[in-house]
Amino acid sequence: MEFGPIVRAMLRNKVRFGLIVAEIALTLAVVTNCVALILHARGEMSRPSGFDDEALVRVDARQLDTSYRDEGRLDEARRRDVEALRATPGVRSVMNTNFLPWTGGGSSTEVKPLGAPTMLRTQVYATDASVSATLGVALEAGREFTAADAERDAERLRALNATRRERDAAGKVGAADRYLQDVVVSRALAELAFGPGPHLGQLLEDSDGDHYQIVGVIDRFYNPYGWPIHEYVMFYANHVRSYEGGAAFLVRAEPGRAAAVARAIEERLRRPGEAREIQVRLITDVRDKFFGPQRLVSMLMGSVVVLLLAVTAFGVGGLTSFSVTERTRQIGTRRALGATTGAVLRYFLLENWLLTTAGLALGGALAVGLNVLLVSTVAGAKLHAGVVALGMAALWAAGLGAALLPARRAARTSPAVATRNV
Amino acid sequence: MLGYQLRTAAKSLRRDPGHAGLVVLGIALGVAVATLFSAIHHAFARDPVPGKSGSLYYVRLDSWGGDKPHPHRSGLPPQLTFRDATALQRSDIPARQSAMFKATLNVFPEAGQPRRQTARLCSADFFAMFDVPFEYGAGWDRKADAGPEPVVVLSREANERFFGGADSVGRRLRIEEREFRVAGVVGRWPVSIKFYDLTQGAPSPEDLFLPFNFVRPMQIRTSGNTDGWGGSAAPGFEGFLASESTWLQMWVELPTEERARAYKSFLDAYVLDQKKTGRFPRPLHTRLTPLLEWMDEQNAVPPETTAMMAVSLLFLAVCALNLMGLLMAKFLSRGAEIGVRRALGARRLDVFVQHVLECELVALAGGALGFGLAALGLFGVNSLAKAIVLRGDLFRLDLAMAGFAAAAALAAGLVAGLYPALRACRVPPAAHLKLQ
Amino acid sequence: MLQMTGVKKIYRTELVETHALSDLTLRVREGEFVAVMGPSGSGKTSFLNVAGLLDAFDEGQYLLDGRDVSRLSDAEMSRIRNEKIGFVFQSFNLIPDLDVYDNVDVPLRYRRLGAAERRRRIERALEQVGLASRMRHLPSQLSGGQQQRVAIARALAGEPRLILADEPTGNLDSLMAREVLDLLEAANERGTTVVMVTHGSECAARAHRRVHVLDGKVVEVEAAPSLVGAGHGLAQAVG
Repeated sequence: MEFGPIVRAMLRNKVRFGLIVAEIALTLAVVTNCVALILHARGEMSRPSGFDDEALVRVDARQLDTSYRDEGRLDEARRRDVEALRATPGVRSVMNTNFLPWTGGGSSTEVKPLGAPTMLRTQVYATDASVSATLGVALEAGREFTAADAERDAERLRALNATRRERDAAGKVGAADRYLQDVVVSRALAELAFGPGPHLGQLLEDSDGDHYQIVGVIDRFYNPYGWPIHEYVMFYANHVRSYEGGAAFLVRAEPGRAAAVARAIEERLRRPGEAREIQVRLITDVRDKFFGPQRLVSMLMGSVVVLLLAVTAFGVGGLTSFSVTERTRQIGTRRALGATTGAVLRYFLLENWLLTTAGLALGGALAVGLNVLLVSTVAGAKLHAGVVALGMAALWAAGLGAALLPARRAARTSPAVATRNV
Repeated sequence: MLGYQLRTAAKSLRRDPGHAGLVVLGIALGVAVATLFSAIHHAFARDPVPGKSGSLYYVRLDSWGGDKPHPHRSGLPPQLTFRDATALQRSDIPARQSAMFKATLNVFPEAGQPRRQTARLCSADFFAMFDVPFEYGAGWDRKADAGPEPVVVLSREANERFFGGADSVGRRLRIEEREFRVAGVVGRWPVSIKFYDLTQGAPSPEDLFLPFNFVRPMQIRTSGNTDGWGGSAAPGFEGFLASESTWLQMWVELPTEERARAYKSFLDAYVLDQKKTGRFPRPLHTRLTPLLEWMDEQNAVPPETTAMMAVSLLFLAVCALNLMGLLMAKFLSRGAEIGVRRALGARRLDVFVQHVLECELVALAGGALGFGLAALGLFGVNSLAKAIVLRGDLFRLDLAMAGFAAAAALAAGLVAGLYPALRACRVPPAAHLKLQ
Repeated sequence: MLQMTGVKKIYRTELVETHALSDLTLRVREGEFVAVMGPSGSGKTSFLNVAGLLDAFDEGQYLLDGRDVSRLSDAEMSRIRNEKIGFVFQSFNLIPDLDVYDNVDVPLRYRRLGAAERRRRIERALEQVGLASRMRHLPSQLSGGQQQRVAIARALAGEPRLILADEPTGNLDSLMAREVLDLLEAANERGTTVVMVTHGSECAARAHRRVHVLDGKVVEVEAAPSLVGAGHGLAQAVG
C-alpha cells in the first residue's frame, strides 16, 4: 500500500526514527540474553536429584564437650542417636552418612578400573545403612550395606589407620598391606568405568593402590559438585562421627511428614546433661539455599527485563506521540485531502511496524553478538532461536501497543487544522 | 556567562516541570539499575587491601603425584601440605607471611552455653598484612607465634557473643581445653568475600583468630578442603601432618619486584631440594600469584554479576536513548525562543552550552534520585541475600559507588542531550521569528 | 550604513527553487528612517533576514556599516547582530518566562557586559519606552503595545547603530501603533538608523523614504515629501 512514501518520509527523519530502531534493537539484545540466563538457571534448578528430596532431613549432632575426643564415647552417642531417630514417629529410614545433597560440594576421590591408564574422579561418601532406602533411589543390582557391614569395616579401617603401611616410590602400598573395600556405586560411575557391564564384582583401585569392589549399583544419582562429577558416586560402609564434625545423619520421613519429623527430632536428640548442638535441616531448604544465588540472579534479571520492556514501550510511545504532534498539520492536510480516520491510523501503525521490524532485525544480530561476547568472556547461557523469536514477538506486540494510543490520537485529528494558522 | 546559562537552563526546566520530571525519572531509573548491579559487582571485585594488594602473593607448589596434573585449572593444587607450609615459613625474604587454615572449635565461655565457632589459625603477620582494622587491642606479636602463646583475636560478633561487645582485651576465654587471652577485637572490616581464603565459599571472616602453631599441640584439623594423594605413611594426627594432603593457604608480602624474584627462586630451590628426598614427583612448578590475579583465577567475582553489570549498562543506554527523543521534542518545540536569542546575538556555542547544561542538570538530579533508588534496591537485595550467605551487609553503596552514579548520570545526560543540543544550536535565527 | 548590491537569496527544496531575493540593490544611509514595503511574498521578510544577518544569501554583496558581511562565520554574525543591530518583530518575540527586565537583559548578557553597565542600560532603555515601573512584570501581564515597547527597549538597550523592525505595528491597534512608531522615530532622531518592513501606508508615512519591493527586487523609491527638504539622505535604486 503506502510503503514507498512511508519509507521515504522516514529516511528524511533518520535520527528520530533511528532512535526507535536503536532502542528496539538494544532492548531485544538485552532481553533475549537475560531470558537465556534465566532459563539456564531454571534448568539447573529443576534438574531432579533422583532422591526423595521432599522427604529427606539432614541431622547434625555435635558434642560440645572435650571428653568426646574419646572414640568410644562418640560411638556410644552415635548409636543412641540412631536409635532415637529410628524410633521417631514418621521416620522411614535413617543412615549415618557424611553425604549431604544440594550443597554444591562434598567429598571426592580418584579411582580407576584395575590396570586402566587414567584416574576417574568421583564423589565418595560413607554410610551405615541402605542408600536406596534412605535416598529413595532404586537398587539396580547387587546388595547394600547393613549396620553390621559398617561395624566390621569401621573396625578394619581403624586398625589399618593405626598401623604404618609400607609404600613404594610411587606412594602405593604393597600387596600385603593392600586393603579391599566393598562399594555401592551409581550406575553412571559404573558405566563410566566399565561400560555397559557387568558391573557387580568389578574392581577399582585408588592412588594408594587400595582396591574397591562393586557390590551394588544404584540409580539415579545427581548431586551438583564443584567438578563435573555430579552423577558419579561411590558409597562405602563406615561410621561418620568425629569430635570436630560430630555425627551426621540423613533421615527419610513418611510422605508429607518431613517438617513434623524435623521438629520431633530436635526434641528427641536433646538429652539432659549433654552439651550438644543439634542442627536439623530439611533437604528442600538446603536445596533452596543452594539455588539461592541463582534464584536471586534470575529474579534481578527478570526485573530488569520487565523494566526494560516497560521503558522501551514507554519510549516508543513517547517518540511516536512526539512525531504525531509534530505532524498534526500534515495529518490535517491529509484528512482534508480525503484520508479517512482508518487510513491515518493505518499510516502510523504501518510506520511503527516498519520501524519495529527494522529494529528487531538489527536487534537479532545484536543479540547473537552480545551472546557470543557474554559466553566467551563471562558466564553466559547459549541463546536459543526460540528465545529470540519469543523476544521478537513480545517486542512486536509492545511496539504496536505503544504506538496505538498516539496513532489513534492522530486519527482523530480534525481536517480543519490544515487551514488553521498555528 | 556560565552562571547565566546555568540559570537560564534551570529556568527552562522550571517552565515545564512535568517534562523535566519525566527526564529525571528516566535517568534515575537507568542510574538506579546500573548502580545497583555495579554495587553488586563492586562488592566482589573491589580491591580488599587497597594500596598494597600488588605486593601480596599467594603461594602454590606442585606437590601433586600420580599420572595426571591436579584437576585445578592451573594444574597446581590450590593449597600446601603442612610440611611445605612450615618449611616455607622459615624464609626471611617476605616482609610478612602467614600460612593459615580454617577450623571449627568449641568455645566454653564462663557463662552460658558452649558454642562451636569458626576459627582461623594464622601467624601474627596476618593482621598487618591484610590491614585488618581493630576495634579494641591489636593482633599478637611474632613472639607469641613462636611459643605459641595462648592469645586470640575475636571478631566483632564473637566479642558481642561472649563479652557483650565490651572491651575484652586481656579477658580469658576457654577454647577447647585451653585458656586463651583476648589480644584484640576486629573492627568493621568491609570485606564481601573472604579474599584470604578463596578455596571455599563462605563469605564472612571467622569468629576467632589464633596462632598457627597451636595446630600440633591442640591437634586442630581443618574444616576446609583437604586434597591429597598417596595416603598417610604414619598413623594418627602426626601421620596426617606428614602426608601429602594439601590443606593450607599461604600468603607472603613481597614489597619489591626484587624480593618477589628472590622468593620465587627460593621456592624453586626448595622444591628441587625436596625432589632429592623423593617428594614432588611432577615437573618443577611453583607459582606466586598477586592477590587480585588470584581472585580472578578463583572466580571471586561470580561471573553472573559481571554479566548483570553489562546488562545494566545497556539498560542505562536504552534509558538515555529514550530521553534523547524526549529532549529533542522539547528543544525543537522551543525553536522560537532559540531564534530570538540567536537574533539577539547568542552564538551557536552559547545555545549549545545552555542546552547541554540543561541536560546535565536534569541528569544530576536523576543521578541523585537514582542513587537513592539503588540504595533502596540494595536494601532489598541484601535482605534476600541474607538467607543465602547469613549476612545482611554484603552489598554497600560507598563513595566509589556515589562517584559511579554521578558519572553514569552525567554520561547518560550527555548521550541523551548532545544530539538534541546540537540540533537546538543549529536552529537558524530567522526560522521562527515571523510566526509564533 | 547598509548597502546591498545584487543580493540574491534562493530557497531550495528538492523540487523547487524559490527566488526570494533576486538581484536586490539598496542603500540606506546613516541616520535614515526607511520603510520597506511590498505585498505578501514580495521578499520583504527575506530582505530583513539578510539585512539582520539572520540568514545567509547566495549572491551579491552586502556592506553593513562599511564592512563586507557576505562571508562571515556564524560567531561573527552573532556578534554583529548583538552589537550593531536591534530587532523589533511583529509578534514581539519576548521570552515568555523571563520578566521585562530579564528580556531586555538577554542581548547584554551575550555581549558579556558587567552587571552595573547592564543595569544602567536596561533601566535607561525601559525609561525611554516608559516602562520603568513594570520591570518585574512577565510579558503575559502586559498589553500588546507594552510588549512591543519592551521589545523596542530590548533593541535600544544594546545601543545599536541599526534597528530592523518587521511589521512592528502589525499586531497592534492604532493607538498603540502610534506609540510604537513614536518610539522608533525618537530613536531615529537620536541618530539610530531605522529600517522598517511594513505594508501599512500609515506606518510608512513616518519614514523619510519608502522602498517598494516586488519579486525580490526594489522597484520604486519615493521620498516622504515632508522630509525631502531636510536632507536626510537620498535613496538610489538600480534595476
